[in-house]
Amino acid sequence: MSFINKLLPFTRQFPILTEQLGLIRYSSYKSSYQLEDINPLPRKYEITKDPMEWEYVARLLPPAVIPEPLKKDKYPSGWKPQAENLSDRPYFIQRNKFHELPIYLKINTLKTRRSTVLRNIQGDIWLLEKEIRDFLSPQFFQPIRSQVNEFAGYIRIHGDYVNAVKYFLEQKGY
Amino acid sequence: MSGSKEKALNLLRYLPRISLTNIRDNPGAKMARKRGRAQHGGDKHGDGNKGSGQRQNFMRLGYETGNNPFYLRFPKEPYYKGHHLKRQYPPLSLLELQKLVDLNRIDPTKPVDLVAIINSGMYKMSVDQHHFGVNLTDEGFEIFEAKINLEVQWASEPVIAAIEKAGGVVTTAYYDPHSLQAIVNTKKFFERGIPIPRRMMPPADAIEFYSSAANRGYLADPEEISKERFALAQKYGYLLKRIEDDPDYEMLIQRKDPRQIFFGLNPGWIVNLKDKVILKPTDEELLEYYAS
Amino acid sequence: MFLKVESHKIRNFNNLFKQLRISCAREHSTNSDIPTVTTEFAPRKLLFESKYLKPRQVWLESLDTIDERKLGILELHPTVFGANPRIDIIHQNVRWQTLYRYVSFAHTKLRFEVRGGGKKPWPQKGLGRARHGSIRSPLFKGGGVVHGPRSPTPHFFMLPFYTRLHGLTSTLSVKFAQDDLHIVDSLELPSDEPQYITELVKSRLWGPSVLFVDCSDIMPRNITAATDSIKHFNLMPYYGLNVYSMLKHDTLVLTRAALDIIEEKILNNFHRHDPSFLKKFKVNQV
Repeated sequence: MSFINKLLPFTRQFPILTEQLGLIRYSSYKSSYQLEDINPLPRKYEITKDPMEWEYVARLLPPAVIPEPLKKDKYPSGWKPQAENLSDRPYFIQRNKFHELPIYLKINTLKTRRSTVLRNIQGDIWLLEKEIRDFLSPQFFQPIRSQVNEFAGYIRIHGDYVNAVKYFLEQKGY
Repeated sequence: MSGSKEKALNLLRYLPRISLTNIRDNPGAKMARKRGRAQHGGDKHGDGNKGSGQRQNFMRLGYETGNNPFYLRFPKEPYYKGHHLKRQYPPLSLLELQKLVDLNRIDPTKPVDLVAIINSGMYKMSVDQHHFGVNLTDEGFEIFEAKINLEVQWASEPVIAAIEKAGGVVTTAYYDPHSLQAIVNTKKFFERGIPIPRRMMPPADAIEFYSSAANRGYLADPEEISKERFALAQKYGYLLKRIEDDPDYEMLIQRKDPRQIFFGLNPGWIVNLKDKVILKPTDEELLEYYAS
Repeated sequence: MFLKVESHKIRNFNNLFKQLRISCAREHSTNSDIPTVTTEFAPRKLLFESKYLKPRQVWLESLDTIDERKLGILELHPTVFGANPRIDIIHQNVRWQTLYRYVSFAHTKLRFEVRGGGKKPWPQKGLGRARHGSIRSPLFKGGGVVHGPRSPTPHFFMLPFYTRLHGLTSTLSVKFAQDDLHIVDSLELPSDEPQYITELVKSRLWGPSVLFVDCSDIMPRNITAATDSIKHFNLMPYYGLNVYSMLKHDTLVLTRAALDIIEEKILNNFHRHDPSFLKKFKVNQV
C-alpha cells in the first residue's frame, strides 16, 4: 500500500489510467483528486427573495416556544384557562408549559398501584392538601392517603383521583 | 402566605455563602456499590454449581435442546400477509383537534394541513412505520365548533358532517412517502438542500377513495363535492350556509394542486433557510417536469 | 451573633434577624442617597409573567465611580431569580461539570501484558506443588491485575437537560438571595488601572472574587486591561454562565444586557415547543 501511494504522485496526470490499473486508494490523502473549480452548473436557476413567499416558508416551520392561548368566550373542547385574580390566594397551582393543570396519574410498572400527583404548588401546601382531602373523603369509601412534599411542592394521593381533583381545582379557578 | 421556596430563600440570607465546599447531594441519592465478597454475594457469585450457568456457556435464546424450536416451526403466518404494503393512518380525534384550536397550537385563520398538525407538536407519525397521515376520528363529534379549512388523509362521514356543520371545509388528500419525509420534519428537509418533490398520485387501491366526492377527495369534482355537502347537511340535520357569503371565503377556498406538497411553494424549488432565499429552476426541461 | 433586643419588640425569630440585618447594613452602607431615575434607565419587561409569584427587585448599579451609585430598581423574573434553591441539583451540576471531561489515566497490566509468564513454571504433576500455567497469573505476586483500572477511562455523561436548567436557576436564586448578585449598566470603567477595580470591589464589599458577565465576548478595553493581571476578577460572556463558575466566584456581576439575554434564554427553554432536543446524547452524533 505504501509503495502504491509513493507511486501515485507520478501518475496523477493519468488518474483514469491509474484507476483502471487498480492503483487508486480512495481513502488515502495522496491518492485523492485535488480540488478543482466546479464547472458552470448544468441547470439554470434563479434566486428570489420575495417576502410573500417567505411567509409561506415561515408557516411550515414549527414555533420555538409553545404559543399562548388566545382569550375567547368559550372553549368547546372543555379546556378552561386559569383565572386572572389569583394573587391573593393562600396557595397557587401554576399551569405547566402546555397551559394544562399539572395533575398526573402515576401507575407503577406492575400496574397494581395508582397515584395522583399534583405538582407546581406554591404557597400554603398544607392548606391545599387539607382542602383536597375534605373534598374527596365524603365521595369515596377508602380513606384518602396523601403525601405532601413541601420543599418540592407536590402532593401525592394514593389512588386514581385525577378527574376529581381536576374538577375541584377548576371550580377554584386554577 | 409564603411557601417553602420563600422560606428556603429567606433562610439562605442568614446562612453562610453557598460555595463549592458546602454543597452535597440528598441523603440516599448515592448507594455504595457492594462488592461480591464473603457469605452473601461471594463464593460462586450467583452462578450456582457446574453446568452452563456457572461456565457462562448458555444455549442460544429459543433453543429447545435439539427438537424443532417454536420460532422455526412456522415459516410464516397468514394473518400478517401484506402488512408491509398496508397503509396506516394514526388517529387524531375531533376533540383533540378542537383542543389544539382552543390552545392556539393550530391557527384556524389559515388552511390546516398535515404540516400544520405535525408542527403543533401534539400529533406524531413516522413515515418508516408505514404511516401515511391523519385519520380524523369522530370522538368529539358533538362538541366540534371550529371553522377551519382542514386537509386530512382519512375522514369518515360523521367527521365530515361535524366539520361542515361548524362552517368549515374538509378535504382528504394523499401524500406519498417521499413527500411525507419532507412534511414530517420540514426544517430537516430544507437543510438537505434538495428540491421540493412532486406529490405522486395515490396507488390503485386508494385512487377510488380520493376521487370520490363523498369522501371529499382532492381529486374529486368540486361540483360533486358541493352536491355531497348539501346531501350530508340534509342527512345529519344541520343548516348549510352558502360558503360564498362566508367572510373567510378566500381562506376556505384555498386548495393545493394535486402535485403540490406545501401551500405557496411549488415543486422544484429549493428553500435556503440560512440566507432566507428560494432557488427556482428556470431550465425548460425541469419546469416541464415539475409542472406535469 | 445575638443582640440584646427587648422582648416586646420580638414578634418572632424572623423579625429578630431582620433587625440584625438592618443594623449590619447601616454600619457598612455608604452615605449615598438614592438618586432619581435617570433618562437612560427604562423598566424591564418580563417574559412569561407569573400570576402569583412577585418579581424580585434589584438595584441597577454603575461602575463609573469607586463609591456605589444606584441608578434605579430593576425587576427580575421569579422563576429565574426566585427559584427553589435546590442544593442537591447544584451539587449534581458541579459534579457533572468536573467529571464529564475527566479522563482517568490510571492503568494496570493484565496477565498477558506483564512481562514474562509464557512458560509453564513447573510440571503439572509430581512436585507436590499447586498447578500453575504462568507466573504472571493474578494469583502470583507480580502477576497481572484482574479488574483493575484500564486507561484511558472517560467519565463522560450528560446530566439531564432540566437538571442543568434548574441548576442555573437555583444558583442564580441563591446568589440573589445571599446578596451576591449585582446588576450593572455596563462594564465600562473610567480607568484601566487594576488599582481602580480592586478599590471599587473592596469599598462595595463585593467579596474577594468577582465574576463579570456581559452580553458579548468582546469586553470594553479598560476592564479587560484592569482585570487581566488579577486572577480573582474574571470576565465571561453570557453563554459561558455555569454553576461551577458562579459558586467559585463570591460575587456575580451581570450587565443589564447580559441579564436580558440570560433571562430570555432560560425562560424560553422552560417553554420549549419541540422535545426532540431531549433525545439521548450520542458522542458521534452528526
